[in-house]
Amino acid sequence: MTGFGGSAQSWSLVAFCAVVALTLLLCVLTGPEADDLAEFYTGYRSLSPLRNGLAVAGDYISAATVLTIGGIIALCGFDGIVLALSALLSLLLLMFLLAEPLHNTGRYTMGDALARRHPARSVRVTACLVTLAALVPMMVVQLAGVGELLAYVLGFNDAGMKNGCVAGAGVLMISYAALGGMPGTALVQIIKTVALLGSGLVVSVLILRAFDWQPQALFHAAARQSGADDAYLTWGLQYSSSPHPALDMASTQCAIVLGGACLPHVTMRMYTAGTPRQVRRAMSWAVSSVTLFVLMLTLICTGATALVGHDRITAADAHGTTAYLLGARAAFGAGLSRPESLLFATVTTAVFLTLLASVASMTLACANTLAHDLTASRPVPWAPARELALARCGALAVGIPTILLAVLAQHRSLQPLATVSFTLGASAIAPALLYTLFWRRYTRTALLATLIVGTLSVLALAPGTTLVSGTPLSAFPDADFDWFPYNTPALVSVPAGFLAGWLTTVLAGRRAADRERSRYASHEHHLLTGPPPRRSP
Amino acid sequence: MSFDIPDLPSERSSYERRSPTWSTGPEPDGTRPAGPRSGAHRTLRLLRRAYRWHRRVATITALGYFAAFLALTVKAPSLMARPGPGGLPTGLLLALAQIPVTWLAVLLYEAAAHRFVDPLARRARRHLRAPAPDREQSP
Repeated sequence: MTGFGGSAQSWSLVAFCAVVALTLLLCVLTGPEADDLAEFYTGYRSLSPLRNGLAVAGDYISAATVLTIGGIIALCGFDGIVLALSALLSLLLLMFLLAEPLHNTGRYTMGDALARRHPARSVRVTACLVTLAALVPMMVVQLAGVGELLAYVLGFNDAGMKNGCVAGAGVLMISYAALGGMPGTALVQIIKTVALLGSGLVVSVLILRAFDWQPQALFHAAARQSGADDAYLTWGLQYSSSPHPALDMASTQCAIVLGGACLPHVTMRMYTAGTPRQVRRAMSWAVSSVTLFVLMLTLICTGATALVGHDRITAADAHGTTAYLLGARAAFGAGLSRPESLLFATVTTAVFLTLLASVASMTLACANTLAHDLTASRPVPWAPARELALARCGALAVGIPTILLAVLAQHRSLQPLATVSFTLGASAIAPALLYTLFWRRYTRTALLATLIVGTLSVLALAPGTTLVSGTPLSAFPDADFDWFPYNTPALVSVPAGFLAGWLTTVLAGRRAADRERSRYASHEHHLLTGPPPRRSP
Repeated sequence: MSFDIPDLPSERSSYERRSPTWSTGPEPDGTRPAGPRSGAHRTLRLLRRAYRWHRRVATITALGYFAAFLALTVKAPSLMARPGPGGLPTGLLLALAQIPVTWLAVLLYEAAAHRFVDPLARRARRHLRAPAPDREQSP
């Protein structure tokens, strides 16, 4: 099944094991003390901007980005590139709009940021549930990808082995999150970002060299090899089967631009910087790194189509998820010398690490919200050691069902699950955060309405989309219950989320508005200037 | 890495730099305003306005460019398919141009924040330090 040679496989296996052992060791070494909540949740806000920025970039470049968007670039060309750009725009908007206010108002979790204005148990519990609903599908996507990726790179085809790989990777991610906390996962993310950017840069240079340093030659060759000719370089290939291609494209982009960077595992990194200025600097590094990555992803995946051809990419995987690896392999030429095998093993290891690290961060975000948001509104706060133990149990409680779901889902198309996550971010989390941070009249009922209506509309519409059933590339290709003929539910759910918040606030009346205004005014200095800087002990 | 953010002046040195007059305000540095609240409130108001403009301009520019690009892609496919320099379609070139534009946007955003927002934020924080700093219940 795999086209990789024996030496590349053995090097990859050695590198995987080394990376797993090394990162686990580092996680244990950097992990927090048994009763140190601030360190577990934020690492004392002591990460330098560069390191924090690399960690944010690491969180943001999930395996879904590398594999799914990479596949769409390889198969559909222009449409995939626009998707990658909208993911980049999402992070840029996070930097421009939300990063500093979030840092100033939040402490450990998204629930903190929302509950600063509306301190209530209901707000925290809803924030916790929405966090879980947004992140668990994404974790299933990443974990299910591990089995397929390892099977592909190491060249086995046994279903039991794949399940074993998923379970093993799942146990690893729980350990990263539970043992390392925020400092540990940040370190894993930094290693991953450096590995991914470094290896990607080498492969991009190799691909450009193969086309005499002429990017236009690369794109023309890819168009020829894609089987679609000029359509590969223009709009519409991905949405060709859709009855309303323009609306479909607009709603997909909207979901990614609004939702991508609002997901709690990305926003939780805003709390790990010391001052608003450091958040901004960290986000500059993060956006710069992700921009570089988008450029490399475009070159490598277009290179895959140009060098390997559309047919071999779809033969390896119908959605092209292995395009990034195929492109990297093809860039090295036919035979692999020992240094080339080693370099190629770095590429596969970087992707493997991407899968592990993104799941670990998401597990941590879920564990944090379970432990912190569910206990923060108690009249007598829990002892730090107890809350920390609860966070670690939370990692286990979220991790184990996720592993089971990933084992069940790994042979199906994972795109709908990733779409649910992004759309939930865009329909519930983005409006809730924007309104809470910037709209004076926003009431608590409206906040709950935004979160609940946004989430429920996504969960209700998602099963009816064309990614779930009705087309040969759906998750259930044999079934046909696609009553909502679009790729994502965003077309309805995003306006629903925003409207629910707006209507509930407007209908609340003048007295409620005045009350909220004065409450906002009392919090405003905090929103603008942030918490006093903390000395790391 | 192939890119870097040029060194902006550090936080300390910007104390020496001349700040825009509206950010330093009428009262000279170091003296408390006569009224108990007027100085702090004025600074907060200025800071709010600076943040708001900073955020609005940045967000509308970024979103506007992308929305215009998407609208052109969908509504004027023939224009976007017209070959540009290098024989590549104009749409693809406009898409790829967003990569350097993003780097530029980050640099401009940082520089503008450093010039217009940071001095005010520092002043607001100094004003607020006078009363006891409040922080939601600490662990």
